[in-house]
Order: sequence, then structure tokens, then C-alpha cells
Amino acid sequence: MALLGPNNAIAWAQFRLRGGWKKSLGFSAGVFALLAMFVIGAAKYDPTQTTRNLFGWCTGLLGLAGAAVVLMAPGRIAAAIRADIKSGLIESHRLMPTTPIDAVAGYVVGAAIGPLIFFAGIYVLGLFCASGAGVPLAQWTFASLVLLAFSTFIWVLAAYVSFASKAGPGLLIIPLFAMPYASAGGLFSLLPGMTVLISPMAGGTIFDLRTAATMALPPTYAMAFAMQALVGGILFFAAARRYRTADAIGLDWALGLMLVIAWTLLSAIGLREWDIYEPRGWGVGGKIELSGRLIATMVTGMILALAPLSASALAMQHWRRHKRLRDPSPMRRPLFPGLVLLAVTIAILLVVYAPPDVPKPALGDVALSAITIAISLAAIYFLCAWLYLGTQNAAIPIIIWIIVFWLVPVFVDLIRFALADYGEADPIGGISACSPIGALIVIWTHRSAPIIAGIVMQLLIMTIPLALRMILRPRRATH
Amino acid sequence: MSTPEAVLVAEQLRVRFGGFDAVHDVSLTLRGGDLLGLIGPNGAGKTTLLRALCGIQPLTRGVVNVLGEPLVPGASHLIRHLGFTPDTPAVYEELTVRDFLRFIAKGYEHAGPEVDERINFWLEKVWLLEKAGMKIKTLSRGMRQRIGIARTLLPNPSIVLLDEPTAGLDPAGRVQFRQLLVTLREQGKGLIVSSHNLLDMGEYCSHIAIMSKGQIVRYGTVNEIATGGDASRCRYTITLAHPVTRVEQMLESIDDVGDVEIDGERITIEFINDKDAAAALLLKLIEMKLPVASFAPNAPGLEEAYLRTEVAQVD
Repeated sequence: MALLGPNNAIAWAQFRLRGGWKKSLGFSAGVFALLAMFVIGAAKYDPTQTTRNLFGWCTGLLGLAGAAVVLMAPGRIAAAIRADIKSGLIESHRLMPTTPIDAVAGYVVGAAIGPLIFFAGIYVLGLFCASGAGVPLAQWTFASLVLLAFSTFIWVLAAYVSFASKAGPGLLIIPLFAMPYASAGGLFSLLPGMTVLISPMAGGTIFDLRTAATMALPPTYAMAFAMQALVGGILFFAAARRYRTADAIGLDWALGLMLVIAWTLLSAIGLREWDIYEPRGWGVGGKIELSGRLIATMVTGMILALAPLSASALAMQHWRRHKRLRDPSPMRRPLFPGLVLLAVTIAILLVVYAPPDVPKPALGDVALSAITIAISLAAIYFLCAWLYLGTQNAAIPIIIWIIVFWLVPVFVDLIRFALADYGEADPIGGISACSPIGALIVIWTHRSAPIIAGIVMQLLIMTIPLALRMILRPRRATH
Repeated sequence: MSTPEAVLVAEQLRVRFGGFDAVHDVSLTLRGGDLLGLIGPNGAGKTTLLRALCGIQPLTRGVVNVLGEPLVPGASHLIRHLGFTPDTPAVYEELTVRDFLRFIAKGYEHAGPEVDERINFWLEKVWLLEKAGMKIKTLSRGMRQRIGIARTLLPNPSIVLLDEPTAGLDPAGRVQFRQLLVTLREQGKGLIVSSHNLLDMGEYCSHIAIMSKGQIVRYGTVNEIATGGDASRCRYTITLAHPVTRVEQMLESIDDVGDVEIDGERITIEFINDKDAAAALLLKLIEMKLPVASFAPNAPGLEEAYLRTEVAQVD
């Protein structure tokens, strides 16, 4: 095994493809020299403001380093993986005895060495700026290390998305960076789990060089590191599975379930330590109530749960096909999908017990939420099971299903409310309760909408894909 | 002499794309020293079968056994025994030929000074040693094909699968490639080669499989396939000094002569595949006062045999 060493063939090739040491060092040295000139120039231009100027440079350099390792490196990793998939080279790689773990590590390290060298140059320059600006060198080093650790997580994320989707890491940048910033921090406040996950860039950020109190590892980063390592580890193994064979399910039921559990854990940490993680300087934070955070976290958990459930449906479809065709090399029976459904439902629901200093939620509310979540996810499972009879990719129909049956009822109620006279008291009513999002809102904000009727309606909706699956099920062995 | 061990056994392989079976229940056995030629019309499933045999094409059904063990995803100890060159080998265009092969050597965990020796050996075998320092993007299609072959052979696999390996090669390259295949056979490797060049296949293959619509419809030694399974008969070409009237009736009147085709002075007939019988036939022709300028049996030809099959006609 040559995980990170020079004997990792893919890392070696990726680095050579980008010009090797010569190009990487040459580029970094050039930028280093240019920036050094600017720093010295700025310091000499106004000697009375040297400390202030150098402090500004520290922040700027950290931003530049962040751009190199958080934006440039994932772009390179994604480009490397997508290019090899597109050209067919990945099939040549699969014929080598390189393990999938080594291969994914090779893509990540090989494509990121260039930005890493650049990062190292910035770090050295930053040491000089920090010493002149009165920022303790340990503080500068600590901020750089936090950034590096965070970027490692982003690299793995980019690798997984590049193996799993043609869209590449663009898919990640939107929910992780663009949406939170576009929503003025609203998304961070709504989803404490996301805030924990990207805390180096959002909460008490690494850019807060002047006010950060201690050089010791604060709990903010320690917990964020641990969770980034957990989520990164899950996605790394999923990427390795995708690398191994063309038709592999990356996030299978086990890894998918772990991802849902990790999300609940992240959210629980965020909810319990909100004082630490609450994003500073955003306008929306304080306006969102705890119930809003719980509902958003559960809905996000349901979306993540689509991975293990669709994987379970696909695995069952493969197993049934092998059985039907009397395959001489039969597949092992996958775990019963009902157990996967039960496990993800429990994992999603556990978050309601996370908030501190509030009364325990009523058992009735928890039970109704469990029923709502289980029915909605079962509907998605049956939809997948039906779709996988004819296709291997059910993403678009699932998105349409979610829009139609999860979102539209809530929008209908909101539109109805907007068009109604002033007498209409509540925007969330009976129609919303027919969708899981609306039902969770009704349950956790204790509205008067008919929740039981809504759940019965959801049950009826679930029978649509179930009926389709039962009607179209292949019954006889075929050759 | 004992029969060589089977190095590759495929059982009931099926590969389905949507509702279409690209490979349908194909079973085959390849022994060390066998060189199996895969022939068939375009779209017959040859490439998909080769990809399935080396494990990069997921199977709908069936199993491939390599050296007696099932080839499952992640079986890296088996994968290292398999070499596959696709019809257009994928390469890192920006690397030099030597660097690309170094990368492959690293992938197979070959290290140390013998790596360069090994690379030089194979570059010499595929006549690319002079181009070792050039970037692959500057090379022609034929040269890339040779790099693909070198990439496959560099780790010294026991089983070599080649998809249209001569497609981009010049005539001299094809001759050299034939010699290379013979060497590999002599080393006891099991080889499967898919090609449309039946003349070449007849020369270097030990066995032939004809594929059509995802299935192997004919399988046998080159001689069995070339003679259509009836080795007791063979085709002969007779050249007359000048055209003779009613020659067809004269020939058809001779016992065991069949399928007479006349093209001016050149006549092709089917007759017993036996030297004594051929000598007797020649004597008979001379006795009939036919002006025989030459008389020779046709070597069993794959091309002719293939064109006679229903496969070629249907597809």
C-alpha cells in the first residue's frame, strides 16, 4: 500500500501531469516574490501604519491560502478524476492492483500538491507579516493548520462528488458556500450541523486573528475536526467504492446510514453548543427559533436518507435479478430494506433530544414525526424500487417527487394564505400536513392543522409507487 | 504431454445494456499457450466480452474465473494476471512515453532500477524505444496503439486480451506484432485477440470463436473453423492453359467433385482432402485432355470460411 508516498502511482502521475516540482515550485516562488515585494512596498510606503498594513496582509494572505486549498485544489482534484473517467483511463487504472483507497488518495494528493506548495509559500510569507503585525506566530500557524485540515475535508468531498456525479464539485460549492452566504447566514442558523461542519469558514472563523483568545485547540475546532474526519471518512470510502467498479453504489446502505447518523451528530453538537458555533456578523441568526432548526435538520436528514434507501432499493433489484437469472455467481442477499428504513428514521429523529435546557419533547410528537418520516421515506424507497426496474438512475424522478409531494402542498397553503382575507390565521394548514415538511412544521410548532388526516393522505400517496412496483414486478425466471 | 491448465474460464457471461444483451450466456475456457481469435461483425459483442473477461465491464450474470479463482471486484491478486488493451488505449497525453510506462510500473508495484530495464525491453519489443522521451500527444495512432500494447505487457500478465490490436499498425508493424504474439504464446500465456483481419488471425491463432449477436456461434481450432468442421474435404484451384467448352459438366461427372466455380481459365472445385485422391484427380483431368497448367489445394482460409457462415450473411 502506497497511500500517500511517492510510490502511489496515481499521485505520481497526477503531479507529473501538472508539471511536477519544476512548475509547482516555479509558480509558487514567482507569486511569493511578487507578494513579498508588495508587502515590503506597503510597509515602506507608510512606516507609521506598518503594523496595521501587515495585519491587513495577514488576513489577505490567509484568504489567498484559503483560495488555493479550498477552491483551487478541489477544482484540480475534480478535473483529474473527471478527465480519467471521461477518457477511459480509469478502466486502465482499475486493471492495476492499486487498491481503491490508494487510488482515491492518489487523486487527492497528486492533484493538490501544487496548491499545497503555494500554501506553504504563503504560510512562510505570513510568518513575517504576522511578526510585524503583532500577531503571535503560533496564532498564525494555528489558523493555517485549521485551514489545511478543513481543506482536506473539502478535497475528499470533491473527490466523492466527482466520482458520483458528472457535475463535479460545483454541486458542493452551491450548498456549502454560495447558499449560506446568499441567505445572509440564514442557512447556517437554520442548520446548526452545517455550521459545525464548516465552522472554520463560518462560526468563530480563522480570519478572526486578532480576537482569537488561545493557541490551544478550542472546542469549536476540535469538534469540527472530528466531524469533518467522520464525514470525510465516510465519503472517502464511498469514493473508493465508486472507483472500484463502474456500477458500484458509492454510498451503500451502511455508509449512507452512517452519513445520516453523522448529520444528526453534527446537528446535535451545533444545537448543544450554539453559543460557540452561532455565526457572528450574520443578520438572520437570532430570528430563527429552535423548532425551525429542528425541522430543517430533520428535513435535511430525510434528504440525506435518500442515499441509503435508494442504495437499498438498487441492491435489492440487483439481487432479485441475479436470483431470477439463476446466476452461477449469486449475489448475497442485501439487508432487509425495512430495517434500513427503521434505522434512518430513528437516526433522523434522535436530533429532537439534542437541544439543552428545554423540556423533553412529547412522546406523541415524536411518534407522529416518526410515522411521517417513515411513510415519506418508504414512498421514496418504493419509487426507487419501481424505477430501478428500468433504469439505474432515478435522480430526476426523485427530485420531481420531492418537489410535488414535499414542497408543493406547503406552497399551496402559503399561496392560499397570501390570497385570503385577513381572517385567515395560519399559513400552514391541512394541505401542508399532506407533505412531510408541512406535517413536521405542524407537529413541532403545535399548529391546529389536521395532522392525522395529513398523515393518512401521505400514506395514500405512498401506495402509488408501491402499486406501480407490485404491478410491474417481474414474476418469472427469464433467460 | 499433459494439457495446460485453464488460465481463464468464463461461465454463462451475460452483459445487458437496457433491454439489449450485448453478450448472451457466453462460456469459454482459455489455456496457457492458447491464442483465441475472436471474430464477428461489428456490434457482435467482441469488445464487451473482452471487457467482461477482464472485469471492467460489470456482468448481468455469470462468473469469470482467473487461475481457478472467481474474479470479483477488489481481487487485486487476480487482476495483476490480466492484461487488456482496448482498441483505442487511453493514455496520459501530457506524459512522455517513458513516464507513462513508469506510472504503469508503479501501479503494479514494480520499483528499483529494473523498472527502466523492463520499460526499455518492452519499448524495444513494440519499436518505440526512440520515442521514449516524447510526449504521447505528439505520437500517431499506431504508436499509441503500441504504447497500449507495451502498457499491457509491461507487468507480465498471464492472460492477455487485445481488442483490435493491429487496427492502427502499419504493414511492418503487423508483421512484428505477429512475431510478438507467437513469442507470447510460446511463453505459455493465454491470449484472446479480437480482429477483423482474418488473414492474420489464421496465421497466429490456435483457436477461433465466431461471435454474432452476443453469442459464440462457432468455436474450434483454426483448421476446424476454416474447413467448416469437415476436414475430409478441401477446395482446389485448377488453372487451364485456355478456356475449354463444357468443362463444368466434365468436372461434375467425376466422383466426389462438387461446388464447381469457373472464372475463365481459373476453376475452383471442392474435393477429397487427401494427397493420393488429389493425385488421382489430376491424372483423371489429364486423361480427359484438359489443358491443366496448374493444380493446387487451397490452404484452409478463415476469410472464406467466415464469409460462408450465416453470421456474415445475416449481419
